[in-house]
Amino acid sequence: MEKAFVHIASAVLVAAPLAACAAVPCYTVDAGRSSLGFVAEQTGGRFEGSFRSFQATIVFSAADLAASRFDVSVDLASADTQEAQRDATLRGEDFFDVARFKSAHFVTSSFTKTAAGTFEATGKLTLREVTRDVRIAFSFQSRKEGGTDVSYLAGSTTLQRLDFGVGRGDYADTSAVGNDVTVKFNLRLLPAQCPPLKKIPKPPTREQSK
Amino acid sequence: MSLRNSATRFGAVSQFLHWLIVALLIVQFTLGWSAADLPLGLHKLNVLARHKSFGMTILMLAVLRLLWRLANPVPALPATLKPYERGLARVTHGLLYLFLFAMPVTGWLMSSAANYPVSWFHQFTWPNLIAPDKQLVDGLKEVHEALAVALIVTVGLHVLAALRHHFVLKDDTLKRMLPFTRR
Repeated sequence: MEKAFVHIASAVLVAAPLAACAAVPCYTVDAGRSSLGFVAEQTGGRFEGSFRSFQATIVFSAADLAASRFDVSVDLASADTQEAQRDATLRGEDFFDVARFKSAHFVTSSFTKTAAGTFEATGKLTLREVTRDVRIAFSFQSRKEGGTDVSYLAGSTTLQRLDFGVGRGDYADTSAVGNDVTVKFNLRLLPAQCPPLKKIPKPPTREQSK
Repeated sequence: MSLRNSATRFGAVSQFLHWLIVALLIVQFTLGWSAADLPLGLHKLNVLARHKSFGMTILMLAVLRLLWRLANPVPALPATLKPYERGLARVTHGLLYLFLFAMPVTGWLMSSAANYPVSWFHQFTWPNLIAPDKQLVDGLKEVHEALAVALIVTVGLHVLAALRHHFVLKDDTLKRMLPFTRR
């Protein structure tokens, strides 16, 4: 009898987090078929670039936005604009300063539904140790692909680079380097085991007010 | 002076396009050559952005100029010219037109390959002609620079020929491209 109780108790302990996971599915990014890019303006010309390396923990359910969460870290040194000199400038201290700031970090704080299949995430983006509130409009769609559940998360937001101190010295001149930078992403998501909640990184520190 | 060309003289539109492009080419060589010596930085990018804007202006003017040339009679060369001189004049003029297109187009290709889309005086961005390709950039740069040298040589020949017509042969060849002159 005592033994049976232990079995039931352990079953409940194991099942409880699993039940939570079943309610709000977790996803892993299919890196080979996902992109995180940006569009910026330089001396009047708009160009595109991308981040080759980023990690994302996506916990999302349209039916349970309160329990949904995005946590994204972007490896700033992986910025690629298809031109070596500009990439080096981006990694340099006037822009991302990757020697001091390895990554940018975005974590959501809330979601709202804007239309069928489209949502808005509000969260905090930390770049160069500056944290700002950012809203991101995105769409989320799931379908079966050859028996596998696949979801697509796509969206964009426009940031003002100077809010984060990106582009200093001469490069602070917005007629030479536009202040607006559009960040856009198209992620292919595969079902994943939900990470233990405590492992999701805490929101960044050293917040600065606008 | 009429707007259109006559059988003996270039009209106002042809003259305007000719001399405007001359002025822009001088600007282009100044900007292009000075940018080459500048250290990497914002100043260089700004100089190159201006170079590209003027270059695209020349390309648009070259299109207009070619259309205008096709729609107008080209004043005849002096009857005294020998056949080889006529041939030389034709080749020189043909090359000059070719360069007016080839210079901006190779520059545009170079910018596209480097993923530095060309803006027109910050007003709009021209589409990239080709996908970014690091391998192509250096080759295109060499072609662009070689064309620049070839253009200078051809312009030199063109100017020497004009001066020879004016001062040695004493015919109207130069005058017919000059405003405020009469036959």
